[in-house]
Amino acid sequence: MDDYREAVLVMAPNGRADRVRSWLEQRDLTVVPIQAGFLLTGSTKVFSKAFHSDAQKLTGPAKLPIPDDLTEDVLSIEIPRPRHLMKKP
Amino acid sequence: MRNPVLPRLIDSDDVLPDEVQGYISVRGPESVFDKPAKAFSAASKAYHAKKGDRDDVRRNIEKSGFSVMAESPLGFAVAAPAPAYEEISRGKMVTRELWTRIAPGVHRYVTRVDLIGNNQPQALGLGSATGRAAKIDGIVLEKPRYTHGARPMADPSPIPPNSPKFHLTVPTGVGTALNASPLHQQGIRGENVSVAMVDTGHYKHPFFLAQGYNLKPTLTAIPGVNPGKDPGAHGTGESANIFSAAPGVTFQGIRASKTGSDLLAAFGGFVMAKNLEPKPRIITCSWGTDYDYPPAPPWKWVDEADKALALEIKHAIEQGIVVIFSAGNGQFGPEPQVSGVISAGGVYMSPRGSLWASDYASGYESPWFGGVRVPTICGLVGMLPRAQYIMLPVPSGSQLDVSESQDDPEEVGDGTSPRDGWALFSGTSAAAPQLAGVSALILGVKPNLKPAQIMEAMVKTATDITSGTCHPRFGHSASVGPDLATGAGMVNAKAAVEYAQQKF
Repeated sequence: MDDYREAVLVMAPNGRADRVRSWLEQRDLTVVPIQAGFLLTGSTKVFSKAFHSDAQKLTGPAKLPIPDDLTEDVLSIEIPRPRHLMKKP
Repeated sequence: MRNPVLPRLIDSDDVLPDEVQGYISVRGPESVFDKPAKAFSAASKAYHAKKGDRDDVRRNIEKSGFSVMAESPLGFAVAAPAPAYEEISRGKMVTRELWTRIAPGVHRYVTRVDLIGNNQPQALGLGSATGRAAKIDGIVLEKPRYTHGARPMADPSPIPPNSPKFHLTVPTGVGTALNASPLHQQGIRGENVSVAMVDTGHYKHPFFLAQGYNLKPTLTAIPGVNPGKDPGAHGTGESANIFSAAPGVTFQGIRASKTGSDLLAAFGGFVMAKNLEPKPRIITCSWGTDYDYPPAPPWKWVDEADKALALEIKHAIEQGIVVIFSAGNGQFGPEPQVSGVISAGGVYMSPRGSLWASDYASGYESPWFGGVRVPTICGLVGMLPRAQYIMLPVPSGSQLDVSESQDDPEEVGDGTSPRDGWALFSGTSAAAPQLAGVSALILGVKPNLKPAQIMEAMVKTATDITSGTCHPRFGHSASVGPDLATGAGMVNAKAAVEYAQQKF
């Protein structure tokens, strides 16, 4: 898979998880439940299309715009900071 | 000559190719496969199939999804995805690794495709067909062939090369320095304790095979990535530290990288490890991120994504999983600061056995989690500039094999070849899996202990470090008692296990 990405979606306190999940899966994102909400994974192309973001803006750390359909259910969607191996300082 | 310490045939973590090349033999008056090669009839005509039978077989295999590339009176050269072969054979297609002579004096494990199942022949790469495909005499799966050009690369030796630099070896040198060897002699080896390591992947280096370690097939957090390869080499190398402490563990590698040292799926890899069934007893991670230090006021979390990861880590610990993160090699990141995590710092053991704080390792008080100090405790780590300290197994010619062998402006290379499958490195990346191994030794004798008790056993029995300073970014000195350079000090495997046996 080219340009694999992962993002963290944090649910609002009374957010409707089923609705959010369904919205994301309809857009070909892979969705894994986590404590805070969902971990989203997919290609850059899938992310770009789902969140109307340029590929360049999909490098962490980055906040993604919350789609209008999900504003009541979602607090934030973020691409995490890059992780590095603890080999070199 | 076959290396006597390596098994001839092993399971492979390699994925099946999208399309498998093969040959389908159609049954003639005599079977090609029923007799040993010496008993072959003089002329091939004895095996020629009837035209009607060939047409029948061709129709059937094409219906199953085969492409016929060429036809002869004996059979068909074909290509098809694995499910097509499985349909006509009613077997299961798998990959295996066969120790193979690929050129004079050059041997390596070669990935082979095989059909297995109750009705399948024992011979590797050979299948049989049943049902409507019964006129098939045999299914031969293509094996790799080699050009007689440049000398191909052999698999690395299971035995490490020497280096002019002072270093520790795996498993013996590291096991001894951790004081784990006396436990191994008593039969305490972390037997069957499951350890998951989220990293660049895990390659079945002959070192692991020769030692007979228990490796589960590697999983990948990124779809489409080959779990049998580790181009970054870091996961393969650093995992040897676990086995040096606890040779009996069951190891589960999780590949979170795509092409090398990137960790595009670090978060997903951690969640995958945590969600494994059965749950691992230990998760070890030799990676992290880096924030400004000290963080600018107000000292609050900036990234929601990092908060979410911290929550996942806490949840794993609450479920009884021991979670270990590297403290960092000068980095300042959230993962080792999560309360309940065992954060792994660095202590250097000199050629004469003296111990001091490694200036390669991070050490600080957490501004985010009250009362948390990083590191919790230390494993063995080299010194600046390169921490070339432990001879570790890596895929031949991989990024680490090459980079560590080369000189850099501050220090010469490790004295090994860039294609020998061994490299000298460490970092707190090495300390975390060492602590994972010691945790496994404790769980091996006290399987019901909680993560906090494992941490207590290691902390209470650590060897106090009183000299040296941690990474200059933080600049803390080791002193009598717990300190920010080395935490509780250097882990002592034997003392930690004995403490757990007596206290809990």
